[in-house]
This record gives sequence, C-alpha cells and structure tokens, in this order.
Amino acid sequence: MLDRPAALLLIAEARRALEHGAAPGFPQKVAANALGIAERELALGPAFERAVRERIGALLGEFGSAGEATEALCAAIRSGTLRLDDSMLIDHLIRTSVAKLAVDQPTYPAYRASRGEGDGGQPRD
Amino acid sequence: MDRAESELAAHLANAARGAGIDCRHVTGLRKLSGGASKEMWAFDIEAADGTKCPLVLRRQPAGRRFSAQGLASVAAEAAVVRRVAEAGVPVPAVAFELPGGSPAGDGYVMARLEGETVGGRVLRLPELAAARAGMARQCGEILARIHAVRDHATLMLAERTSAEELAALEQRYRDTGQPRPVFEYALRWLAGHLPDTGRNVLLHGDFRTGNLMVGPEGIRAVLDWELARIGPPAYDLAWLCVGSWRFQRPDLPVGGFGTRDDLLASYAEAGGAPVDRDALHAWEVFQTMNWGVMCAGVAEAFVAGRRTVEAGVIARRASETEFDLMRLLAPGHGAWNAR
Repeated sequence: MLDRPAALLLIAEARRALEHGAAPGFPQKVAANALGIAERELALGPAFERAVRERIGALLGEFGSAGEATEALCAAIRSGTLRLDDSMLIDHLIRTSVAKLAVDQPTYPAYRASRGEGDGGQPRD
Repeated sequence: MDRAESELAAHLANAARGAGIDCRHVTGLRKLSGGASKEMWAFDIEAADGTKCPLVLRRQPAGRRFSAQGLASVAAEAAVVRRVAEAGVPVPAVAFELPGGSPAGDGYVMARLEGETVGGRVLRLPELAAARAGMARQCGEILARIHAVRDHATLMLAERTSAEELAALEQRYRDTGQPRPVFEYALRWLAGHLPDTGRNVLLHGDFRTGNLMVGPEGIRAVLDWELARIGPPAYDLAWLCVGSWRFQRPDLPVGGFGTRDDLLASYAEAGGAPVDRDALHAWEVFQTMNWGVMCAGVAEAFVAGRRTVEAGVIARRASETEFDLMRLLAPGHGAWNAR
C-alpha cells in the first residue's frame, strides 16, 4: 500500500499553498515536490497495488484488494505465521520498499545508489 | 522593532539583570529561523561600558504547549546543557534562564556561536572537508563524555530500558493505525536482537547531522537538547547512523561523514563502555524505524486535519525508512537486483 496522505490530499494542499502565494524558493519547491509524488502515484499506483496483491496472494492466498492483503501480511508477520527468513517474504518487502520510493522519493540518495545511479559510491563500514 | 519585539527586549533585559548580568539594554533583537517547536531569537546585551555580548534566546512563547516528548520545560533543558558543559561537551554556554512566569515565556539564553548547522551544507561545503574527516572520531569522544555524566538524578529526566524503548516504539507505531509490513518485520526482528546492556546513561536523544554546529576545525557545539533522557548508550550512537541524516552521502554511515569503526573506536578510547558492531546494528534498525514512525505520525496528523504541504511531503518520507530497514535486515537478498 502506498502511504498517506494520498495523491488527492497532496494535490489539494499544494493547490492551497499556491493560491496563498507560496514564495519562490523553498515553499514553491515543497509544493512542486508534493505534486511530483501525486503525479507518480497516479502513474504507478495501479501497477504497484496489483503487484502487491499478487505477491501477498502467492504467500498467503487470494485477497480482494492490496489494502486487505497488506493487513493480512502484517498479521501473519506479527503472529509468526511467516518466518523472518522466508525468502519470498523478504523478496516482497524489498520489492515493495523499492517501488514505494519510486513514487515517494526517487531522488533518495541510497535508493539511487542501489540502482547504480548517483555518485554515492559503495557503502563503507 | 514592533511593539511585541520591544516588549520581548524589555523582558530579556529584566531577566538578564535579575541573573546579575550587567545589561544597559538589549539591542539587535531578531527572530531566527529555527526548530519546528521552539522559537530562536538573536540579540545583543550591551553592558554599561558599551561592550556587546552576542546571545541567542531559545523559548516556548507563553501559552504555547510544550512538545509531547522530552523535557518538562525549555528552562529544564538549560540545566542539562550546563551539566554537560561541565563534562567537557562543546555546547553554547548558558547565560541565564527566563524566570518562572516570565512574560517572555519558558526558555533560556545562551552564547551565540558562529558555524554551519544545516546538514546538507555541513556535508558539502569545501571549507569543511578537514572537519568532516575527523568528525566521526570527534562524535565518539563527545558521546563518551555525555554518557559519562553520572550525577544526572537532579535533572529529573525520563528513563527507559531497551525493552521499554522497544515497547514504546511498537505502541507509537500501532497508534498510527497504518499497516506496515516492514515495520512489523523489524519489530519481530528487534524482539529477538535488541540487546539490553542493563546500564543506562545520560543521552542527548537527538544526536545527528543537523544538530551539530561545525566550523573548519570540527564540531563547535552540540545543539538541541530537548530530547535528553536516560537510556542505553547505543541509542545515541545508532541515531547518528540513520540513513536519513546522510543526505547526499549514503556511502558514509556515520552522519554522512564517517565510518562506524571510527565512531566506535573513538567512543571506547574516550572511556565509553565498548559497543560492538552487532549491538550498533540492532540499534540502527531500532532508530531507523523510530524515524519512520515519526514520519508516519506526521501522516496521521495531516489526515486528521493539521495540514501543510510540508507535512504531507514529510509523511511520505516514512517509505525511505522502510527501504533503509530492508537494506539493514536483508542486504544480500537477490530482490535488490530485480528491475
């Protein structure tokens, strides 16, 4: 599941900020950032939710929505139904985290470094 | 100065004289951009002989509620700063507290120091390159000094063991009402891995890039003591290593400027009880989730109606901590290479 606040709320708040004359520089940058998150959510959200529902479905059985599937996954991790070293579980958590950052913050430096982008280089100890 | 500023200047002059400071008048009062919860004001005190002393007021205006976490009052923070200054920790010297019931609010006045505090600039400015090279070791030494303060009972700080910290983190996550599989995974992992050293010390509580004032020679001051508390030493060491404070340098785990080996070695050399890599790793998992829960809490406040565009964007930073948690917990998994 993508996080709150959802695209519509971000757009509404960015619009409000611009209507009230968000100043050039940081305030305008924040508004543009919010619109960027909303734009990527609208573009990538449906495929994201489909993939989440399918992967959790493979782990725990069919669910009606990505939201229901995510809640069931939380319960299964919490109760110990799934082992922490379950490779399919870890696979899902990693893919979901990567896909969420592609929406929320594709410029996050550790994310870019993990995709072989940016100039952060190899992690050091 | 407008009327409110003139009144604040007069209250500051009164408080200074009440503390026995030679103050003919307060000049140059101006509001600084500062923390989200506290106001910061720069001003000078001019003595009878005309000499000026540059100062900063840190305050919560009268009538505004103090932040939920942390100390009982801003003035209580001054007592912590005075104590760690005696222990050799670089801090802005406290000049005087606002007396209880002061119309200026709850706060204290400290020396106004020069230096860079903005995290991204600390990590980027060429003139701070030499400072950055030594900062991981400097942080280890400073944290060892903070953690060595023994007579902290009079500071009346909250105390939590490792197990209590973990229970509080889980409760704060549950209170957000958002189902997050990565946080559930981290919580179960922490239940089996977070070590309990059994020895609690004075903690800064928010020791990270952004709260360190830096000059070309290194760290000049540790700022923002409002989250000081008593707890496990690795809490402070690990918070400094959270990915979100590394800005453009994810390759340098200690604050975006250094290595864990340098931090832990200098901490032990300066007298800190040795913290091993496994303990630091477990606390990094804890602290990464801790920042993630803070972001998720902003989302709840936003949805509940406390809306600003900035809060909306911060809320959507919770996902960076999920990414960092999986990097910490499953670094070698093949899914990282999927496209």
